[in-house]
Amino acid sequence: MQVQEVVSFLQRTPPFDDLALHVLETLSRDLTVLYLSTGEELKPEPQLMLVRSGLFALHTEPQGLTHLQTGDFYGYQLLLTGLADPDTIRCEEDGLVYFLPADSFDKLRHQYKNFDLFFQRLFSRRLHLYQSSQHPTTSTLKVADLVTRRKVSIGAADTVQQAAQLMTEQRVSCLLIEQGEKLVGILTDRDLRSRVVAKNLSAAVSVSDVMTKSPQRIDIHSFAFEAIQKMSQYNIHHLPVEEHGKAIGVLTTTDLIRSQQEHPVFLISHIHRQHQAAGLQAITPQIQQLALQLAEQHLPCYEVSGVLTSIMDALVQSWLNIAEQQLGPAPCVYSWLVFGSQARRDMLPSADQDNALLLEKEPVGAIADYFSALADIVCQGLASSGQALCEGQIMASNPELRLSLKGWSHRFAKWLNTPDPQALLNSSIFFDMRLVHGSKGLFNVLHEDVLARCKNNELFLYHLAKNATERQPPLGFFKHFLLEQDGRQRKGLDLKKRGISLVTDLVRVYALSAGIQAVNTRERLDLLQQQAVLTQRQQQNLQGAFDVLANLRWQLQAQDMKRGRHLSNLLDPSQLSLLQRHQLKDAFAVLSDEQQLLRQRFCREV
Amino acid sequence: MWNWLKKPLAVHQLVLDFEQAYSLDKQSLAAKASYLVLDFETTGLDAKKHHIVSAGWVKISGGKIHLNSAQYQVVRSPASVGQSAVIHGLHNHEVRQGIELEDLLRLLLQELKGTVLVSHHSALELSFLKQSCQNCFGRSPAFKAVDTLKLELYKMRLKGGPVAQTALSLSACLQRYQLPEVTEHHALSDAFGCAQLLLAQLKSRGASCTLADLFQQSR
Repeated sequence: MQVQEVVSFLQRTPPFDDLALHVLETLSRDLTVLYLSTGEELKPEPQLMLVRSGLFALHTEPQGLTHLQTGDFYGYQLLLTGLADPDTIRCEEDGLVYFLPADSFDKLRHQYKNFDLFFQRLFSRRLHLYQSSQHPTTSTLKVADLVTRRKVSIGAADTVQQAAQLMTEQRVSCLLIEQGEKLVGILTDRDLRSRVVAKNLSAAVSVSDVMTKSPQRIDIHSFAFEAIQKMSQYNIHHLPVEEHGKAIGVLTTTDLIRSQQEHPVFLISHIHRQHQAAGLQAITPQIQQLALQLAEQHLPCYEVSGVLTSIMDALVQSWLNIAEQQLGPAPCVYSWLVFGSQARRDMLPSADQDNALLLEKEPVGAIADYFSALADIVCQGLASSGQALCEGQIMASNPELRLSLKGWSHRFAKWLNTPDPQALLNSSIFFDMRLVHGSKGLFNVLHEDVLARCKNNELFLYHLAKNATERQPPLGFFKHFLLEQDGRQRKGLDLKKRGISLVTDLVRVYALSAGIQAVNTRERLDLLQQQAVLTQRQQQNLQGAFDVLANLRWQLQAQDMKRGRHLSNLLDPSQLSLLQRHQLKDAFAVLSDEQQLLRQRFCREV
Repeated sequence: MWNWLKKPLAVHQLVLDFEQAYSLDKQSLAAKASYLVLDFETTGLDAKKHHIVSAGWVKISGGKIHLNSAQYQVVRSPASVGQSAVIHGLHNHEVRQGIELEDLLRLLLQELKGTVLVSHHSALELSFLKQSCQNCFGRSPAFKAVDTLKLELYKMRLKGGPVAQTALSLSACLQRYQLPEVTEHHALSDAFGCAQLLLAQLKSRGASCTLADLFQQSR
């Protein structure tokens, strides 16, 4: 017989709240209940601990203190990975904890996917925190390192007019208002706009009427992140800095951004400032440095890819500018296109070039010569900036890929109507295209033309879907990994060929069938779900699988980069944690299911 | 004419067995002992006149409540539950489907072995238990119980000041320890609440507290 009180507590505690009542009733009988009094410590046990009441402090080495209270869990790391952490739990307020034995926990995880997911997410969130706190690069920065010791202040009785004059003279966006030596207020550009001009007040009103009274402030010896926290918490851009209780200056958001010199924004604007080939060629180590930093910040792969793609786009634009400087202005309007991972904004440092030119006029005579030279400069230039040439010659330097609108239109028509699956397979990369530089109008005409030809083209979609499901995820009948060898005779799982590409290929079929313009896989998935081509569950599963695979691949490549090795897509599964293995198998299982659904939808076979 | 002897004699052995097997080391540490926390719902307060309607219990061992030991039994009562249904919520038709009192006692005697009996206001449980054993088996073991109400009273008297009667109800005690409340007047819920209370009381008495101390404070 179950105890009602325990069952109703489980009923309102996620993830148990997802389970049926009879499951909870059975489950509740597996629990044991412990009472802890303040000061008692609890050693990690291979059981899931659920806090019923009271307050518990979790001390972990790098990240300090976490508090657990009603509904919080502990012990899942040991249960999920077999790795105990050296943490101890200390009771800070008397309370009750429930324990679920390992075998019951495992049974639930196997039977209920959401239950399992919950703890994996819980776990990964925690792991993420754990790792990021090991990189205190920004956290050790002090306010004193950032602030300029320059105090521009005015008295509270002075007029707004005088304040505005002082701000203009001193070229500051903010004034400190002082009475004697005491900081009593702050007045910013924005205040003048919103509290004076917008309210139609006279410039003769006194500063004290419109200033922000008793503003937030920070001590000069505080950490920079405390300042960031304060500014975002109160949504302010100016923070008076005090030393020994007296104002010495103002910290602005610009100061904080300047402190993040390695921020990708700076690298991109740096690239845009380069007008010499030499400057762009020297950029490679900086890109690698940035990539390594992003790796250490444990950003999710899609964000890293987004940053890297923006950088590569900036490089294309800069090289085109250099080429136009050398060759003179272009004889006709053109569009620089990228395909594949760059088009999808899925790039990693290992990505090579996939680009082409779309021309307003037919490439003959002088026009042909100009764009041939332009493409050579840009493609070679990109190679010198670290983006490898394409082995398959999918580059603008290939005359086959410098075509007019008519030329491209014919080319796509040929691919679309080909009964030859191999030819189609080779061309599928072209169906993910994006404009990086040049005429948007020209590009849109081509893109819309291609999309219109694809949509509802059953034969084309049949071949595309067949190709997309030709390669299967490397999961055996007994849910074991199937390893394969790469060119370097290493064995492993090819995360690109047998993972990420399967997702992008599959999503492309759906996107083209629905005439969706977006090429980014995440965006495509979102739109497909919005247009009810995919169910929300499918969209989430595919997104999740894609993220797991992409993150693993990015981790792998980041490690390779750190050790100066060849960037590889081949993963040795023995290097995975139990949790990662579990997640990876899960992702592969999603792909198998989805490939089957795709075949059912477009190939009319079971 | 010896018929009245037959049935009780046959089961009397059960009580003897229990008495023989049941032994507690009173000097053992309270924190490490095993307990059976019991609650009865009855048709009234007088064990001679009223009946047990339902019984709920849960065991504690190694300092933890083990929910897989939780049991709840409705007892087939010879009489109507009458007005008591208002309190415990069990109606005649449910009570008719319950188990025989004798079967409940057999089960309890089995479960009690090696454990300390605990109740909140144990006088009631003890009187019904003894009376029922007397009725069914012709003899009752000399049950002793730890009383969480008395343990609480003991603590409050140590602190001094007047003790209000209501301050000793199970829900008031649970509140005092900031323990989750339970549905009152359900035998199993009350037993579970009482078990939570006992855990808290054991902790507040420190590691050196013995069973003898608990029994002493339960008087």
